[in-house]
Amino acid sequence: MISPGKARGEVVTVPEPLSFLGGVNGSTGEICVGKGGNVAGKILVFPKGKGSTVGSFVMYDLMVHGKQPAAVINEAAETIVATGAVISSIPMVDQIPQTDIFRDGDIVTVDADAGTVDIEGIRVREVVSSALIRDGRVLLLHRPDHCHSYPGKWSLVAGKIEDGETEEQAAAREVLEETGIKVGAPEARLAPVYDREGSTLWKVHPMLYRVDSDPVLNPENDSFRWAVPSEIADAECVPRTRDVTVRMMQKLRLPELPQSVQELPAEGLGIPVGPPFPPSPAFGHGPERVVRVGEEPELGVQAVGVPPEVYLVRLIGLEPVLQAVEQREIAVQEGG
Amino acid sequence: MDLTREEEAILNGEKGEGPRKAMELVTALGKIYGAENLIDITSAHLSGASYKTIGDGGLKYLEDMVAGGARVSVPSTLNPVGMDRTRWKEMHITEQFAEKQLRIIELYGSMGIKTTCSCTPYTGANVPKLGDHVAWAESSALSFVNSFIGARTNREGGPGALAAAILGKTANYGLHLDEKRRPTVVIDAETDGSLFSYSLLGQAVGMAIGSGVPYFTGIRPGVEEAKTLSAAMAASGSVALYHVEGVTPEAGKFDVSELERIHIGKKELDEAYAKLNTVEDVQLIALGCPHLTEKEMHQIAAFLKGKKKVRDDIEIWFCTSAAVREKCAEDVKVMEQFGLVLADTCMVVAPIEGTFQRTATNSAKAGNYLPTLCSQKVMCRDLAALLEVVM
Repeated sequence: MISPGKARGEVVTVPEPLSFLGGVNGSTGEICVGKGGNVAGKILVFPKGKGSTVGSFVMYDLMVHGKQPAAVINEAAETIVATGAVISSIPMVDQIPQTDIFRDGDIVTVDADAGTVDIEGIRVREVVSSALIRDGRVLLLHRPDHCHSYPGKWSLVAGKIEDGETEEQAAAREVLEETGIKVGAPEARLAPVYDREGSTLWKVHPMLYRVDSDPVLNPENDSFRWAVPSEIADAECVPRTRDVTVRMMQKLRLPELPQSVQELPAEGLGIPVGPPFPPSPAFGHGPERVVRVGEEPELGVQAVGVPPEVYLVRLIGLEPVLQAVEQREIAVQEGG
Repeated sequence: MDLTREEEAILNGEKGEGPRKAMELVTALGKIYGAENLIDITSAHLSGASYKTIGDGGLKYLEDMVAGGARVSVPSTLNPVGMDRTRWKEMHITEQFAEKQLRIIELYGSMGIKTTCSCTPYTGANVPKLGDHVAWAESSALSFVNSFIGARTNREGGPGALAAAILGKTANYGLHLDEKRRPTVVIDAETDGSLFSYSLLGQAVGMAIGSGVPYFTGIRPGVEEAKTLSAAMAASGSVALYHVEGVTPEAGKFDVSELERIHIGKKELDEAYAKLNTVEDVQLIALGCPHLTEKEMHQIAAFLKGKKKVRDDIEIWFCTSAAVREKCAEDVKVMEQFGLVLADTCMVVAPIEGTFQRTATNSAKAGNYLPTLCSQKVMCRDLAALLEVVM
């Protein structure tokens, strides 16, 4: 919780870091950047604040004019927005993974005291995505042109988690099915990355394995290649392929990595996320894996409710992680 | 965060709504930065005083705070405001602006804050000691007291510093902690030691490292040099603490042999200079960012004595604190032949964009903020070169 309180309302999103000074009109609530909109009475979602500390007073101004948002959701709170939310009594949560999973118009309940956000009408579907590494290169599979999603794109080895499987079992099964390679436990994993597609929230579990053979493909993919991760072109791949691969490889700090990979920045979440890899219906049947109510939540996302009723997804604010907050962005306060 | 029973009581509203909101803010900020507890502070310095920057939203906030009975519980000083309290008409300030600005000063004063309206409180009005925990906003001043004095503060925001001043406490994170005060990089500086070189050095370092705790070799700053360096690094980067070998009080504690070393010499200083200069002719020469000290007033007056201003088309502002202006009456007489000696304000937080478009300064900090906050094109040169322009 950053600023206490509860609110339910309609989401309005700003996809970039937002400076209230210049970015929002304090008297009317109009958003002056990007696609515009109005924050009044809405659940305002943006990744984080930036710019002048006067932004805190713009938020206060909104409250004075009755145009303040009903709540604020950030990925990582910083001083200006947190200050503005507190002095204006606007409920605020942060540590919500990826504000890009929200869509304008989503109906959402923010419980700042509990640190949770409930999104109505969407469901979680869990998939695994495996990077197979050989001599510092990653295996990319080519999706045929008739694929439902990302036709013609390159991807890692991906697939849906079946009922009763763990993520690692699913990953090993997918790798065996799509490449014929047998793998054990993954050598690296990342926290799940999320992607929103309509009323589905994809929760993708990235894994990494080191292998020493070429794949034998099944019909799901029509060709393969081994790529140096730093040379992967984002445009030709399923989103986040390079980012996720590089981050996992850096976790391993493999000494034989080509120098180019070791120089890449560790954080790399700048790539816009699109729908990842819904598996084609021919492979994997059965209900999507739903995290049941009361189950120990994994990082950040818990599905509340069981299909096929109207779904509800609860996002749980993580324990605050010390952010390397770029304080320069905070303190352009009238020369202060 | 671990709060004492008394702190919890304040958070629950048992000491009133004003303290409750202050505690809410201080604890919310502490949570973001991983503070384990709150600590007592000995002083505060507040920013967010210029009507130009805080606007009607800020004014209303202060009205509400005062109406709620807010009072500071530690000695607190105030940053510059948008105009000279007595000479605002000469600054082309409107009546409406003046009325609101004076009201802001009044509101701060009624909370028990010393309305010194200067960014250099460490020269007399608010002087912490080595090791003091304080809550200072104003990036140049907090960097000075962190680095040159060895007091301890984070880069507080305006409302956060005010909340801390009311409580007499702030969140214990960042630069209040020993481990966060360790240097992160060594800067081997090669400069000519002039005051202006410290502006360029600060600009270059800010450009090179962004944030971090630099450890300098090769410089021996006095007060004026240190304030210039502090301001420049806080504006071009976000440095809030630095150490200078053989000069600053904490520098001797650290073994920097394992740290990355960055050399800043002529090449980097020239790059900094290029970044800060975007215009060749100007309408205003604005000096005193940070505010001029007594020593600087004497130096400027000595330089100007006997000379004559020829260029009537260029205005000059000498910005300082009311206290310094009063002390240096003789210097002021000389300087007033050339321009206005203004107190309480500066070229960054005053609404100069209504009157000027091209401004010169010798301050890298001003060089950074004039384009962004005041829509100015900027010239940044050493003081003598600027004054010679008008002669």
